[in-house]
Amino acid sequence: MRRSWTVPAGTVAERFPAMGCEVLVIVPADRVAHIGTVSALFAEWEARLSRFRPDSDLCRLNAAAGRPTWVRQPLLGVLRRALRAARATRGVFDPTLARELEALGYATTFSEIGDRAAERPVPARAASWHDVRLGPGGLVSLPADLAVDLGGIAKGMAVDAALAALRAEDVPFALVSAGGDLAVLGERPWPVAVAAADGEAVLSLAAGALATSSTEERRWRTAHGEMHHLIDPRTRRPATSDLVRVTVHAPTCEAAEVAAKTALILGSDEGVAFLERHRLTGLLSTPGGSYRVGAWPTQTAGAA
Amino acid sequence: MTQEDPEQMVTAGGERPTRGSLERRLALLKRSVIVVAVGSFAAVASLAAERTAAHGASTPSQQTNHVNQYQDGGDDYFGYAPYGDDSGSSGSLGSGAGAPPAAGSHAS
Repeated sequence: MRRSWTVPAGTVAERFPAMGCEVLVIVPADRVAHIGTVSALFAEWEARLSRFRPDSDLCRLNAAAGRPTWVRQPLLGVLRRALRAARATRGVFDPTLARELEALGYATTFSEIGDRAAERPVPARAASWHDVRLGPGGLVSLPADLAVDLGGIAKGMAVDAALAALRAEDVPFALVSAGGDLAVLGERPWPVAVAAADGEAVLSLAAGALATSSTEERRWRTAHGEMHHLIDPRTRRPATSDLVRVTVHAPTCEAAEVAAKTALILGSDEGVAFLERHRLTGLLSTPGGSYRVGAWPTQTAGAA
Repeated sequence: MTQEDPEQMVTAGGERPTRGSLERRLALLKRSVIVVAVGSFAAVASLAAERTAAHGASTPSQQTNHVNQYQDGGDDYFGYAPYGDDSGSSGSLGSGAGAPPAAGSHAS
């Protein structure tokens, strides 16, 4: 049976590029003006948090590594949450791997990497995320040999913040997706397709968020082979997990993003245990197949 | 505002497909998954075997060696309230945001 999707009756959708991906916003048709709230939020977060804009707050922080620096929102909040995520995962989620990414060739926006990126040795480091200090009033001390990359968690938190802003404006329901990491507002269910290695399932998502980490995307070549963007902090190289894709359902897009990345880096056995410990729902894919952890939102169609 | 392409859908984790994933997606298109109107979902019986049949995964020894080292902390991060206080944003997710998935099943 062939089914198609159109914008649900009574809603409007808009797509725009931001934070290195395509953002999709769906709101009630009579609330179309509120899409501007979301696009403005994403524009601001990208301007402040991009690793590739020299004038961003994040680049300024990284450039000031080694001396205390005042940091404002939203960078301060995202950095605080990222460090909390690092603690919660014992550093498997590590927001201080920007220098590793750059050394491995991901030193420009992904679309600018081209056919072959220049790779150089990953620089030595004595410090880690443990050594990042957040003082009162937004004073941040970043060790001199660290640089921060907030890519995934910033995107997830931007989705959460966008929905919070819509809710504050009394928008009754909405869906915001940033490159496939998405969350919903309101009580109505949304049909969402979730890709896996061996199929695709359509879920009815009525609450919370879905985020996906995958080693199949954001790959590039260097003289030393193919790279991807999910760095294992234990090796400081692209993760060699047996998992190729993990999608997590969590209360927030931030949590889903952190959990998906952590589970993927940990690999199937530890990744499953990690999700179970935190009572999270996940779909984990190896090249040979997929399996779920936890109680997934209602499935309406898809592979079995 | 855009009217959506009828063949498109909201997709989790769907950006930048590689050739391999594109091939899989093309194969999937033949199966023509996709979405019906919002609000008309029927409950679906369990379709998935738990992590069994399709499993086939083995854990690299490297990961096994780190089991204890990377046990995560007792932090309640994943059950925590949304970002709000820290990010400077206001509000929180919708009323259902803090609840676990109500029910359902999942197939892979």
